[in-house]
Amino acid sequence: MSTVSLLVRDPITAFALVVVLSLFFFAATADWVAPYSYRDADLWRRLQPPSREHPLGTDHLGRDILSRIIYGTRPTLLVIAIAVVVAIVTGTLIGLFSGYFGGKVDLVVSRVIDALMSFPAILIALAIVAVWGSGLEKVAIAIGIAESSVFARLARGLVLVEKEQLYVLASRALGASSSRIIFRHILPNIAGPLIVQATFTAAAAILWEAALSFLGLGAQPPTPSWGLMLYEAKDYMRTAPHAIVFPGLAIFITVLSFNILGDALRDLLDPRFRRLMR
Amino acid sequence: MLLNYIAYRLTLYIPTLFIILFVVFTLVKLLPGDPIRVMYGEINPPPEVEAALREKLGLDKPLIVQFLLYVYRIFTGDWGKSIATGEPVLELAVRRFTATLELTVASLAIATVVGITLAYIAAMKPNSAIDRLIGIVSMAGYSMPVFWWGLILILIFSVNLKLFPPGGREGLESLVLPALTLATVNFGIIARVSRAAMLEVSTQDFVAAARARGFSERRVMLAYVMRNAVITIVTLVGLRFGILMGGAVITETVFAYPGIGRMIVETGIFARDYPVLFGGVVFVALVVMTVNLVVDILYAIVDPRARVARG
Repeated sequence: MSTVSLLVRDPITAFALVVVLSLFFFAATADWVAPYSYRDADLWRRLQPPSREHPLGTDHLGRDILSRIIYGTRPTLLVIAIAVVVAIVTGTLIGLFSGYFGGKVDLVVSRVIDALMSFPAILIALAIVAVWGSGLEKVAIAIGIAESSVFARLARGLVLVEKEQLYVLASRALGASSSRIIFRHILPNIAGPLIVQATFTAAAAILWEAALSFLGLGAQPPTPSWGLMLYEAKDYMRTAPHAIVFPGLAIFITVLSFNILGDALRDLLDPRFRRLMR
Repeated sequence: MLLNYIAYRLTLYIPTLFIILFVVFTLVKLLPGDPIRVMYGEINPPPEVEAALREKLGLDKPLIVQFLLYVYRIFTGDWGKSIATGEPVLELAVRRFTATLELTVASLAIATVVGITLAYIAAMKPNSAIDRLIGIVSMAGYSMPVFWWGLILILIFSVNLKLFPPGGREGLESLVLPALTLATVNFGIIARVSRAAMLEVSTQDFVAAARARGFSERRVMLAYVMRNAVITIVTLVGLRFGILMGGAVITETVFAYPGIGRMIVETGIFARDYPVLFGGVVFVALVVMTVNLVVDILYAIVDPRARVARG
C-alpha cells in the first residue's frame, strides 16, 4: 500500500493531511478565495463581531479577519520553508560529516550540539533577533539556526549506525569517495527520520514565528501573520475577543496537524509499524 | 563507578558552559554599532575619554583576550550593570528568577499530576479508544500557542468570570492563570513519555509474574509498573526543563509576571538594555544546564545501568 493511502486510513491523520494541504491551496489561491484584501482598512467597520459580510469579524483597522487568515497561509508557509531548509541543510551537513569522520572534530561538534540543545531554543531565536533586528525572514532564519542542532544530533546518530553497514563497506572497497558515500549512499537511507523531524520542525517553526510576532519582533504590519494579528488584537481583547480567538485557532489547528502528521509518518516509516498496519 | 560517572558528567559540563558563553559573546560582538558610541548616544565623547573607557572595558585588547575577560567576569560574579537602572545584572537576574521558579514549579506540579494520571489511564488499555483520545489531547496540549492560550484564559477567567487577576504577581491568585497556561503546554509531553515508560515496564517479566500470581490489575499497575516507570518519568521531565523555561519566557510576558523571561524580553530586548538581555540569557542557560546535570547524576545514582551508557 502506498504511504498516502496508509496515512488517510486513520480519520484523524486524514484530517491533519487535509489541513496541511489546504495551507498550500489557500496560499496559492488567496487572491481568488479571500472575500476581501488583507490590507484594505475600513475605519467605519472597526472591531465588528462576526456577521454575514465578515464571517470572522473585522480587526482594529476594519480589515476582514477571515481574509487575513487566508492570506496568512503565505507568511506561514514562507517561515516553514525557510526555517526547515536552514535547519535541515546546516544541521544535517554538520551531523553527517561529524558522524562519518568521527575523531576530534566529532568530539567538538557533539559538545557544541549538546550546548545548543540545553539552551531554550526560543532564547537563541530571541537573542539572534535582538542583535539582527526583527522581520519575518530574519525570524525564520533564526528559528532555523536554533533548530539545526536537532538535525545535527539526529543525522550524527543515524550516520554512526549506517556507516558500519555492509553496503557502506562495499562502496568504500569499490573506491567510492567519502562525499559520494555520504550523499549517494548514506543520505537516502537516513532520509526517513529526517523527513519526520522536518514535519515536527514545521510545527515548531509556526509556533515560534507566532510567538516572536506576538512579541512584535517578527512580521511587521501589514503582513497578515497570524502571530502579528494576535499582537495587534490583544489591546482590544475585552471589546473584540473574536479578533483574538480566530487567528489563534488557525495557529493551533495548523501546528496540531503538523504534529499529528509527523507522528503518523514516524509510525509508517518505521518498518516494524508498517508491517503491523497491513 | 558512580564517582567516575559524576566526574565524567562534570567534564562535559565545563566545555558546554564555555560554548554557551562563546555563543553569547559572539552575539554581543555582532551587535550593530560601536559599544562606546552606543553608550554615549548622539554626543561624541572626547577622544581621551573614549580611549580611557575603551581600555577600562578591555575593548582595545584582541578578541580572544576580551572573551577570556568576559568568562572571568562571569565566574567572579561581575555580570555588568543594567543600562537603565544601574542595578547589577546578576542580582537582578537572581531576584527575577525566584518569581520564575515559583511559576515553573507550580505549573510543573499541575502538569505532572495531570500528565501521569492521563498516562496511567491510557496505559491501562493501550490502543483503545480512550488511549487514542488521551493521545490527541496530549498532542493538542503541546501544539497550543502558549501566548494565545494565556489570552483565552484571561478572557474566560479574568474578564468574564472575574475569578483571577489578569496579570501581575500579588498573592497566590495571580499565579493560577500563568501556571495553568504553562501547565497546558507541558502536560502532554509528560503524559506521552509516562505512557511510553509505563508500557515499556509492563512488558517486563516481573510484571507478568505479578499478574500470574493473581494480583489485581490496579495493584500490578501501581506497585510494579508505576514504581519502576517513575524514575524514567522524572528523568525525562527533568531533561525537558529547558523547554519549560522557554515557555515561561512567553507566559510571563502575556501575564505581566515579573520573572526572568519578561526581564529578558521587556528590559533586554524592547528597552535594548543589552547587559540585562545577555546576562539573562546566560543565567537561564546556566540554570537549565545545571538542572540537566543534577537530573543525570540523580538518575545514575538510582539506576546503576545508566552509569555505563556514555556519550
